[in-house]
Amino acid sequence: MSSPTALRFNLADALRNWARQDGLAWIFVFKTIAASFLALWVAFRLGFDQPKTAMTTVFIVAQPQSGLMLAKSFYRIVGTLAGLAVTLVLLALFAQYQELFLLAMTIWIGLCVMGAAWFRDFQAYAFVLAGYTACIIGFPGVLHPEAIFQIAQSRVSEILLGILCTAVISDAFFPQRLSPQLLLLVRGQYRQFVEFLQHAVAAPLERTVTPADQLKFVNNVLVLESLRASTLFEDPDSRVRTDRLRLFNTDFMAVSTTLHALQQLARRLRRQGRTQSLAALRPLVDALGPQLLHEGRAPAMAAEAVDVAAQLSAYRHQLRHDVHAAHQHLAILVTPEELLDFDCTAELLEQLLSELHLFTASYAALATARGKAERPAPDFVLHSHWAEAAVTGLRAVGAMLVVTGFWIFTAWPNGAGAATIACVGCALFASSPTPIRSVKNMALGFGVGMVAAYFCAFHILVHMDGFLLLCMGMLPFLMVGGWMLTKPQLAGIGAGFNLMITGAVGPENIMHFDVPSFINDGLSQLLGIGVAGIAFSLLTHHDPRAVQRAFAGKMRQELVRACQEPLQRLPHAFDGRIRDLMRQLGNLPEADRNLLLMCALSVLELGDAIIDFRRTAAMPLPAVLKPAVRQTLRSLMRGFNKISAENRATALASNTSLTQDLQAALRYQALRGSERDTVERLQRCLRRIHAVVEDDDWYLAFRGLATSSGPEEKHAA
Amino acid sequence: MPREIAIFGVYMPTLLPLLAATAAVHWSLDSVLARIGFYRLVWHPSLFRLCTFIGLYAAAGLYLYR
Repeated sequence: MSSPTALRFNLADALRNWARQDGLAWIFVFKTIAASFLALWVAFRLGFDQPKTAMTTVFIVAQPQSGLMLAKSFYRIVGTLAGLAVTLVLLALFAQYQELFLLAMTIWIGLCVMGAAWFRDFQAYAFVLAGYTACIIGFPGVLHPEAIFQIAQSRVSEILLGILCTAVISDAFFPQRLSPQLLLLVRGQYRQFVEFLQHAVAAPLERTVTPADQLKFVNNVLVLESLRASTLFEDPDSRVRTDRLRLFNTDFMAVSTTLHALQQLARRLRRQGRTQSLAALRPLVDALGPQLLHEGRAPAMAAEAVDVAAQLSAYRHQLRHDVHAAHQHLAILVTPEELLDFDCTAELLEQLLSELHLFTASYAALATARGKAERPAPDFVLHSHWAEAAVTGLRAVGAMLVVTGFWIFTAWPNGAGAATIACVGCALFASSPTPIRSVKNMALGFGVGMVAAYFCAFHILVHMDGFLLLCMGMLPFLMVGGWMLTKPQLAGIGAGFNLMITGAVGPENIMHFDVPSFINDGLSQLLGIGVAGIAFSLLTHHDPRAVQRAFAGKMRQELVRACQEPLQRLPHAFDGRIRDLMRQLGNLPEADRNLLLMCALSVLELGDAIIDFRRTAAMPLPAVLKPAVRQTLRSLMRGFNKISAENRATALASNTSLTQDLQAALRYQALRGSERDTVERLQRCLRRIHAVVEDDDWYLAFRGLATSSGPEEKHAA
Repeated sequence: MPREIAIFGVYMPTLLPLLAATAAVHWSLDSVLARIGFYRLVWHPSLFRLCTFIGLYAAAGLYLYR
């Protein structure tokens, strides 16, 4: 074992491993540092007022992958220009009245933070930067209104310089692309799902989707969407592909929802002891499995999926025929009610098959087809809650009022810096799932960074002369900060550390080495982030019961929206929003999470059944039935608006009475062919809705969450 | 062409609006090249794009300062 060759192999392996993981991280670190020195050098050459702003900007926009970096830069430029425009207008209006100006700025920053919380992902960056730019132009502008235009011009040039340097360095040298990652994710998503279906088929109708599985699929959907949005900027090819990717994601959501609904229906059949229906379903489900395979295994490449799509398409007629035969066979064996249950399940199975076909086809089209997508690709809709965004905005307003008030009334010379950092803290973490921890990490980074910056500025740089030696003096510190950025647990600390180093060491055209002003600056930044942290911990849910109640309330609201929103954007908008909510659940501790996930899955099933019902009701229908359909929808909606045993009973009763009306219509009225189809489908949709609302397993838990009034009740109990 | 230009009363070098114009031209050129699959023939697409942009902007600048 200890022969020289074995040793050499191990060494080679270790080196290769290092190059694949840490090596890539170090490339990122050195690229970022190179970009920051380039920005600094250009800023010195062009004689900008504050070269350090350009350098700081580089560290704010740095991201390990180039796609994410370019996307951020684009939105950052847009946000910078918007912030510039607004600040100039505000200064023109209120330049003589400091208090009024700061109040107006505070409101603008509140609006920006609200925007950052409302939009997530990259649009949020534009809002963060609009607020940030307003701060770094506006606050010095308060003190020197006469120089505002000069200040604005040079700050904006410095920011844009920083953005451009990062973009050029990161894109042209050793680019780390997102597209391969995206491809892997798409492949993995498809393969995992097919394997999962195979499992579900191997243990017919019995294995249910566990919360953990669902959470994994949900996370993949959202990661794919955000990668899709950012590769748009990276790669001209993916600009062509983007509609197809969106289609792939939408189809995936549809197919996984249907699979879950199917499994739930089967579970209920099992619980009610409907063995004959289950026995009739089993061969149908069993026959589905082989149709998904290409030469005995899941298709690994998109090109192989073309064959599978053709298989699935051909199999649709066969399944329709088999379902019909099974229906005829069951009709003489079981009660009409059980037959209806069987029909519901079989209908879902057919739906699953046709959605699987679409899903596979859009997967195949990703590799082979060029040009426009075959079907229109709907936008991905995230769940945004206006009240939450408003609270986030108000939180920023509160923090800003405290800091700017303290600044104005004590005539604190470093107030501007503190206010800027408070704004950055509030805006940057507006949409963070764990804001308090993020703010704490950043504050820690500031603290450590301040000590390091002191050492760097007053023990190293004082001995240095010239640009090259300045860079060499700062290099080791920036390397430490950059390395922390690449470690997810340390990223927050690293960001604070780098901001502090570049801000506090602050390379200027004429270097000043002034210890008191250094300490004043550093303390003001610490105070700013501290106020942001206090604002977050005062105005955030801590009580798990309250968090659960808020989630239950949002799901209730989504159900109401499923009952009344216009139909054309509903199915995917509803799917997307519920999935976004489910991803947010992933941040909760496991004990609180599973109950809510179960509720969310049932809400998904119920909402899709309701949307199906509404779509079917929009088709040709005998006029006499229409008022009863509307009545049923209204009573369902009332049941979601206010969750109570009484409302649930009313909804169930109106559901049953509509079912009876439909049966009577089928029996006694002369219906045209299309009307008969509609009435039969309506009956099946009603059956599905009824089954979910009636299911005590989730409904009681959901009611408990939605109606509990917080911790006091727990004490009383 | 004048080397400095006034837009809404703000005096600025003509190079600045030219930069925006070049960016727009480059964006459309870029999407056309991507659509016809030109980038599959290029070794380092992003370097190619960067250089195309620099070339276009330099040409515009030469036209201005010649």
